[in-house]
Amino acid sequence: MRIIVPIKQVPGITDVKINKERGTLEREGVFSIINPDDKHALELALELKSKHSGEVIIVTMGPPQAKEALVEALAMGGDKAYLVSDRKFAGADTWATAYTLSKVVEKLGHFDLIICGSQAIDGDTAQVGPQLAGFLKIPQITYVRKLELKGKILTAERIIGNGHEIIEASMPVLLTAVGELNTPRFPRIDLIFEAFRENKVECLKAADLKIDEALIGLEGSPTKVKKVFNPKKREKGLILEGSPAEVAEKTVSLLRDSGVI
Amino acid sequence: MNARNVLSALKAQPPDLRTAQNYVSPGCHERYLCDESRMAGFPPARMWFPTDTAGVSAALAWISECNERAAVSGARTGIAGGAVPYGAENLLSTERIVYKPMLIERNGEWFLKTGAGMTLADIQAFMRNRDSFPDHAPAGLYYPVDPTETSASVGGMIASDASGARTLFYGSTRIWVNRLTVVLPDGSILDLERGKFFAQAGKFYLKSPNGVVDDCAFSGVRIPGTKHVAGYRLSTDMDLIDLFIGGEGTLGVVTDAELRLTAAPECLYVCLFAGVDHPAAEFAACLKQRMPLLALEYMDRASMHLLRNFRDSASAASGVPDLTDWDLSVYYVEIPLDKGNARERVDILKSALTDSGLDPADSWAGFSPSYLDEMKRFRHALPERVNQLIADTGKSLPGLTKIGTDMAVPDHALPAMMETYSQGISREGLQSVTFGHLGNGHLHVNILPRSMEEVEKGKALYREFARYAVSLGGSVAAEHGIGRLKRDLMSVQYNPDEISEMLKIKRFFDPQFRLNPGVLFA
Repeated sequence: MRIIVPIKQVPGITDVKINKERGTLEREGVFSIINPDDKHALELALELKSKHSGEVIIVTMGPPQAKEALVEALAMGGDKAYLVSDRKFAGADTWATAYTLSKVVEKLGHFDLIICGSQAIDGDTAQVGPQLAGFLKIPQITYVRKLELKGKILTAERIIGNGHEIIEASMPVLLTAVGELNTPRFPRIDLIFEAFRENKVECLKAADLKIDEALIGLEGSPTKVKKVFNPKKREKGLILEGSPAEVAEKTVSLLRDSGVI
Repeated sequence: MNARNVLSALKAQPPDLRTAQNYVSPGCHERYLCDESRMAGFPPARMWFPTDTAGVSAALAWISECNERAAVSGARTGIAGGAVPYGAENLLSTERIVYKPMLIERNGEWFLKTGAGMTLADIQAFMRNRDSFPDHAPAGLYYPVDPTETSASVGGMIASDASGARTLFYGSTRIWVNRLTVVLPDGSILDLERGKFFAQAGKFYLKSPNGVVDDCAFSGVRIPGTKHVAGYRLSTDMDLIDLFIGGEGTLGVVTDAELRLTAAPECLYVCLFAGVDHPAAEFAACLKQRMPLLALEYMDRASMHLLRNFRDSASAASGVPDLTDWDLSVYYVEIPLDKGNARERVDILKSALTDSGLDPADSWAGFSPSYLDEMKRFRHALPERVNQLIADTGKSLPGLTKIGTDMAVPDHALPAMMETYSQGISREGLQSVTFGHLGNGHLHVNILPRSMEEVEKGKALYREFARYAVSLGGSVAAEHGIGRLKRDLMSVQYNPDEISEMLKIKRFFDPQFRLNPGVLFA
């Protein structure tokens, strides 16, 4: 079984500073991590590999320092990793990112599964996985919290609002993973040794892919970030307790005191 | 007498009991009567909360004029009872000496000026937020001393010469203090900069604000070549700023500090899971010989068993990972990486592990500081669990406390010291966990008594361990200090002549023993 896991390196904190002039995130001095949902995707891939044998290939698109995330993913048990890094990819939105990743997948050849994290903690769009399935014209099952594979048929339990649905699919298929799916394993030092020794990380540039350069990076992105800002902090709400009559009375009194009525 | 061996004190502020923020009555501030040692103090007649050096000066001048004494209190995170008011009419807290830290560049070096009441967490938060930094401030500047407790205050860290896991690489607080403002017991003020004022041939002078010059002559004391915070580090040519770092607030009150900063390195963080009988001291020697390490920590099998119970009750919230086998000991290693040497360092580590009989597959490793946080939580879960266990046992046995050793020995003596720990605990039939700073020859044996009889046995064993550590060239108090609880260990570490040299210094700065009565000396 050949499984491809696209991952993203994201800031390790949520209160990232915003550069007001450029409208971009300040990443200097902020440490990076593998996006948490992507770790769950990788763990699923590694569990499937250990049960059914095969190969787990990790892909990330990002700056050169994203190689660190790939080494960590290899240290969890991945077999091969690709760093898709070129200035031409910079500024890509989710559409251009998914387009680029689809070209990487095409270059890698046959696959049975693609497993993405549901969403990244920096953008929270949850779009890249579904868009990638769209570009590759393969079925997708999103928000997977449980998975079984029997023969060539997989059965996935996916979250839908307050419940879940069970979906069967044949491969190839793209899955997106959520946190409750599993507990990601530790990266191991022996696998870090291997990652370094065997040069398991290969770098791909735009020229290495059969790609339409008009569709990548900032130029190829149909959406543009006009402004990034911190939302205004809302005041803490007030929960009124008591019988319905008491709560109604308190509500009226509060509204009166604040001049609303 | 010359410019380099004379300390000139600035005039004290007028004695002041009126300023509102300076003074509150006791009663409503019970939390100031104890610290993490759980030693119970006595309510002082007055509590002072000055907000700056002038306030401390005014308070001490008032206390001096009234012929009273003062216990100095920081963030009360110490575990030797150093901040517990005892035998003092006044408690002087430095916790309100807080202001926005200031970044200073001097000759290419970067410093942070900060108030004594700022906490380590405050400093770390300030250093993470570069908004107020000059544009040319290098990326990744940080204050490298990281004692376990981030709520520790700057004043407390200086008074106790605090250290932590990274002391192996960076040394203790002392090395990173460049300048101090210190208020002496009479309220006069010293401005001390590292490298400016030295004792010369065991002598220095103090010029009071009214021009009177006193001289102090002293002899040096033996200082072990390990981590060590027990009394004054007297040497006849010492930098005089070092009297006040690790002096546990007995000579003066630190109000402001200028701390040296450095660039944070990239790191590889590794937890190694080893067999229960794996020779820890030998592994430490092997690893230290081959490459620089930021930290090398250890937890023994008993620690892991205690943590397993903790995880069973608190699950992932405990910070303890879900291990399949708990019959093991754990090493925690931080390896600094410079640009381009990651591969080389990883290769060296691999050969060290192979030569030490460790299986690299039994590990947890990563480059991101997120691993630092996760592994820190894992290690820190142990003292938390120990405290919880003691608190539970103490419900039926009031007065029961853990007995936590703090000895360090030179590297070559570590195997013998560890063997002695193990034999002593086994001989007395006590329950214990051993963990801590393996790279510094500084392991904490926490004896967990189940009865008051075991408390007494544990105390006797502690003293036996301390004597043995000193015989090996080690220290009785490597990082927790002496405080009020470990005074008896001073006579284990030093001979009577050495203690009397320290008392000379105490009497010189504080002839009436007004500051921190009961700390270091009875």
